[in-house]
Amino acid sequence: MFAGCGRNVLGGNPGAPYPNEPAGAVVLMDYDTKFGNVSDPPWGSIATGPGNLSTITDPSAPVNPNTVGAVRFTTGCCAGSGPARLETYVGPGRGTPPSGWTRWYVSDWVKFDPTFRPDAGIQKLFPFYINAGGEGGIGCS
Amino acid sequence: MLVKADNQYGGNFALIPRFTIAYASTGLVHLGGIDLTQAGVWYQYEVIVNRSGRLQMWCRPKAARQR
Repeated sequence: MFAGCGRNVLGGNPGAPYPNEPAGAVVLMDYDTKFGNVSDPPWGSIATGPGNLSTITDPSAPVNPNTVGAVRFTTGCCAGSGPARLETYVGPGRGTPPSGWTRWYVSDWVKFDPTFRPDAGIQKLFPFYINAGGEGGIGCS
Repeated sequence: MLVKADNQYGGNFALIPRFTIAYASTGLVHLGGIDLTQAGVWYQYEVIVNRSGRLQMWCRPKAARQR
């Protein structure tokens, strides 16, 4: 299992909690990971199974300790697809930059559970892609 | 940790990956090892995708200096 929280901006702000955020960046998406009740926006595509996404409390979380998203990876789970895939695209409240962008900044906080075992090959957590139609996304899978 | 870049969607985004590493740490750092994914530790991942194709990535544990 891993838990996280994220922020996408367009555009260096050296101040915590986002030390490498470009100065003057415009916030596209500042998501508090309510994984127990995912919605659109910000997620334009949601693919998961029952119980794989939840919202938990974690007093150790650096931000939003009462709203932490959790993803369940069961043993041997779902090579090639993952227990959950959340994608955000271009649009109000979503995290992908519109046309004309120059820099795309994304920040996420993640903690791995002691029982978590990554896939022997590749474990995707924050893949970025932009397809031939010019629409892009960021997801967790 | 593995950082991988693909450009399989017709070249709309001319992704030419460039990875550079700069870190400040008093301890041993294994980029590509387990140090960035230790259980029970909160890590902040930051990524900047530049339209030029340059990628920048940072990772730091909670309350630690940046790597």
